[in-house]
Amino acid sequence: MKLDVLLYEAGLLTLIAAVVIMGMSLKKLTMIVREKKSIWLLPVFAAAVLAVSLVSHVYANFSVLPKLSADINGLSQALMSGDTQKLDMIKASAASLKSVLVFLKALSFTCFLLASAMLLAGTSIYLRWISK
Amino acid sequence: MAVDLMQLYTNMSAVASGIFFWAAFLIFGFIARRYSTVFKKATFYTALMIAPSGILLYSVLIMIKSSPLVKSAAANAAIQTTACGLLFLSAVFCLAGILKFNSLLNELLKYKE
Repeated sequence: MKLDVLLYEAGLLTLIAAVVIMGMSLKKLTMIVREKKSIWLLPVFAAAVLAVSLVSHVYANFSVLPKLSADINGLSQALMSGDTQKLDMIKASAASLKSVLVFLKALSFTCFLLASAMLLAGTSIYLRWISK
Repeated sequence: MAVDLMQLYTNMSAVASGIFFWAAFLIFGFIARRYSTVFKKATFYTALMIAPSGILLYSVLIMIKSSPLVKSAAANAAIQTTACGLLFLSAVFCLAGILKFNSLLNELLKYKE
């Protein structure tokens, strides 16, 4: 397992915990200023979206990537043996796994972007309230 | 072409979300600073405002990594690991800062009751 993948996933997990506690803090802060709006839900939703990002990242790295590596190994073996039928089958499988990986990466970063936007909205709204 | 576009999209998303996260935590630090001034209690707001810098640096490094300036695979891998390490460290410090501020809020709410 690559170090950068582990660091990214551990970082994301810690960030989820931080965002959940930020939501709890924001709830307390809204109680202090006696506001009725539930802006604290924004960080909570952000944490949920971040969890989706984490799950897709983990799935891609622990399930899809090993299958792709196995396909690449199989490809070189099929090339050496000259089995064209097997070669075509492995090529198709590798291409489909590659598109799954691209999709998961895009999903992961879209969730990351959505979560950050929600978090920014939550803290900005609160800052505006107390700046009045 | 589609894969290149997707790669560009994921890089842009990583950069934008890094900036948004940094700004959100920074604003939270400003909020903590105000509470620190009003209630004269330590909120470690400076740490809370500095901690998200790692997330911003993560974005900058991702941008550098995806630029045509970095061509070597080893340099790319080193940048990627450094960026992820900074993201992790930053998340840990953000969590510590928010936990501290949250405990102050608990105290304030207890006093209010």
